[in-house]
Amino acid sequence: MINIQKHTLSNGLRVVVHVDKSTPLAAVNVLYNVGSKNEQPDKTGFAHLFEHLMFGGSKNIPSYDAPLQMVGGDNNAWTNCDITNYYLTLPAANLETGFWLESDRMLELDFSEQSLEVQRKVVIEEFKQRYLNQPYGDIPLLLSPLAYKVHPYQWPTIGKEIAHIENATLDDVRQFFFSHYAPNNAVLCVSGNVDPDKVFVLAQKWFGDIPYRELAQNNIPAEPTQTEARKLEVERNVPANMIQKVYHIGSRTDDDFYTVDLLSDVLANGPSARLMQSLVKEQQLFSEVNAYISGDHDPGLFTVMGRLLPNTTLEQAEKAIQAELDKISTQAIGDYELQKVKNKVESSLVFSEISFLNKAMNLASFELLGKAEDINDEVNKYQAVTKEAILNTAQNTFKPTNCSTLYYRSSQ
Amino acid sequence: MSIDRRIAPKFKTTDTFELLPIETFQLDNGIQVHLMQAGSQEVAKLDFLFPAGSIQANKPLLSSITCKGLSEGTQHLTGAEISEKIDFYGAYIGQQAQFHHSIVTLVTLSHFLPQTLELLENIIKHPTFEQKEINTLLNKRKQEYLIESDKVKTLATRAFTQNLYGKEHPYGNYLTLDDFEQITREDVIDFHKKAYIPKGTHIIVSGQPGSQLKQLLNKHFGQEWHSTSPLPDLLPPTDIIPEKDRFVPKEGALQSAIKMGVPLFNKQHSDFHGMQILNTVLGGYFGSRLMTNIREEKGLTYGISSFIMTYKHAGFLIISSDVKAENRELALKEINNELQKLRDEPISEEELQLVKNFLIGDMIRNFDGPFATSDNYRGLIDLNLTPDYFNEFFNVLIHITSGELQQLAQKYFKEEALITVVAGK
Repeated sequence: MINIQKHTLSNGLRVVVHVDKSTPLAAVNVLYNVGSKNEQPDKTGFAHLFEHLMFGGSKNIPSYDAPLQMVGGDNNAWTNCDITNYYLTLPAANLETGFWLESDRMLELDFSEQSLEVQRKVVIEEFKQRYLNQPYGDIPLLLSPLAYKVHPYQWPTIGKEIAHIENATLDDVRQFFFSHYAPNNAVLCVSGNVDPDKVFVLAQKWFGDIPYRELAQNNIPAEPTQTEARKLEVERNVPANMIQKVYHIGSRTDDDFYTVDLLSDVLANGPSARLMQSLVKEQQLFSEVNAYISGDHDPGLFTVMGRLLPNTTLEQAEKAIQAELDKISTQAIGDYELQKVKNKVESSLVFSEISFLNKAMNLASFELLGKAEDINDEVNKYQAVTKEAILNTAQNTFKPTNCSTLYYRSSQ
Repeated sequence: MSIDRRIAPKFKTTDTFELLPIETFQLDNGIQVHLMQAGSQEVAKLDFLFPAGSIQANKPLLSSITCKGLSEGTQHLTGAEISEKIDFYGAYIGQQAQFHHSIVTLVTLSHFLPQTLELLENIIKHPTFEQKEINTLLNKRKQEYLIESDKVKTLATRAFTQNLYGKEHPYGNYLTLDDFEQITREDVIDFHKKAYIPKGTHIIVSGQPGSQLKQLLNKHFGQEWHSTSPLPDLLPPTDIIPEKDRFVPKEGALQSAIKMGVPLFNKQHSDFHGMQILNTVLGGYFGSRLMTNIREEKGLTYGISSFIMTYKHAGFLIISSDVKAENRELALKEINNELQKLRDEPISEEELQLVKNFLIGDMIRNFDGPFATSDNYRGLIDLNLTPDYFNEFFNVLIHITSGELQQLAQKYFKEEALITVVAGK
């Protein structure tokens, strides 16, 4: 059971505190409710570029990193299609430095042409390093627009193309900041060796006078139900063929999230999972297989993928995957198998509670999606899943008309 | 009350470093156990370090295929049955071959320790290494090798280590497709018999394994199952003169990978701690000289960093970055400038203080709790170093001066000692 205390400031900032006295450190995690789904189709990659700019100095503090390093702290951030998450850890005695730094960049950035100029280049190199100059790196760029035709999940967080990043202007930056970065669009979570009352005092002191801001209207279009099987085939200079099949599923907050998650566990969580045993070990068709769900805030994707051994054709590979999906869609899994995946979820949850930083990130996410306390119901929600529900979900998910398939062919 | 946001809050620095107590004891057969008992979760992690690394195997791939093959079937259980059991207990078993050890890691809920240790005993002592399983592992490993060979970063790293240690020694990381054809089942069985033995084996336990730990470990691993001594280490060659510059072409690469560095020494060298601090200034944290110049001021790369790699019998410092081809020369020039600056100018007191404070915080992070502590402690086993090693580092960190760091830069960042490898276009 994770202890949680909460308070909301008058400007709308939600503050969550978790005490973990086993560490001498503290974590400050600030989650902003903005991701690449909030971008315009002609200005993609912006939420992530913006994350880089958040380290370029704020209104009253010219450097973000140096003062934090000076007090023994370290930090980083990540962006996905739904959220942008900033986190730092430092010795608990120096907690206030974290409040000072995070509150100033929530108050206002130092919108500098020079910082934008440099970070545009840095992000373009990141685009190349991670997506273009990497075997299989462009798969997200291919699959997202295949699976989504309307919803902004049709572009990956890094962006559709480099040109969008090249064209970002300081006006865009300023507008993005004031329409998404606001106390009323964020969750502050502090964990570690801290006193909740002191945290609430510090939160009021540093974040209390940041003005409430009118947010941009998010008119994000819903993705219509897919009605036809989609397929894309590309050829690349990579050593092995790869196949990916993605199916539309619900959102992180849908009731059946836990069922879909366990369905993916039966297929691919751990060495005994069905796809590993059947496709890699018994049939020896693949060198590697996986199945996972995206867990996105809007309806997301169920991915099944595999890298083929040299003697397997893509058609054979797809057939073999299909046979496993047909099996799980027609025959309920056994009690033992259900118990196994539930045990695994339960131990994963225990392992995830070791790190105070991990807990801060998770609590912020739960608070954003509903309430932080929901984190303590996770085990029960997984335990309540039945094998009938898994069967039902498999039937509804693994329909050919709900699927986009990518053949990633090796030209070598 | 209005606050002045331009003024940083007061902060504290610490000049003491506290390491979790590490208890050591021996099993009945002499296996050394190192225990870090702490943490609020009922979870335990056990690392078994066997003298079964690539330096003992003396044949490419042999140590890694043997290590991975352990869990693919035993005299009592098939590979599928082993997997079923691990997953049913919600446990995790990891296997990795390193240069000086092969490590088998068990992470388990503490109340399943009796069952998971029994399973582990079976895996470690009675693997059957069926030919079919060896083939599966080799095919998978070969594909991973080919994919890795497509990355400029990997090509540059391999060229760098081959340049230092040659093609014959494992430190050189030299592997060819032909090596995949040379591994036989007999090799694997023989290596297992000679290397997964009590002598030279260490068990590092962290978390809350419960009061029965010693008894359980003795039950499953305390008897003499082989009385031989570990295979000898193959020492790295001493007669190699590395090329100063190497270029590895890669058709169609969008970026060039840069690896630049100098040969150093292992952890026991008296300059080692000081070099760790100097490395931090150069490229060891986000505010480092290289990151500031090459990423944050010039935008030439997504990332640039340096780190010191140490083995039992050698070590080197390496600077890594991926840049677009047009920027390659500029990046190399700037890296050289930064090294020269460290040789020519003392580090300012302000920067030195910042690096010291950052590293003190980093020490606290790296030793926060039993699992982090055990990960770091594991690196001491090769050289039989005691935990006091970390206190020594802390002591050097607190006292080192910019004059001493400049001397180290002059001693080890000599222009003639620098080796540069570029892979890409």
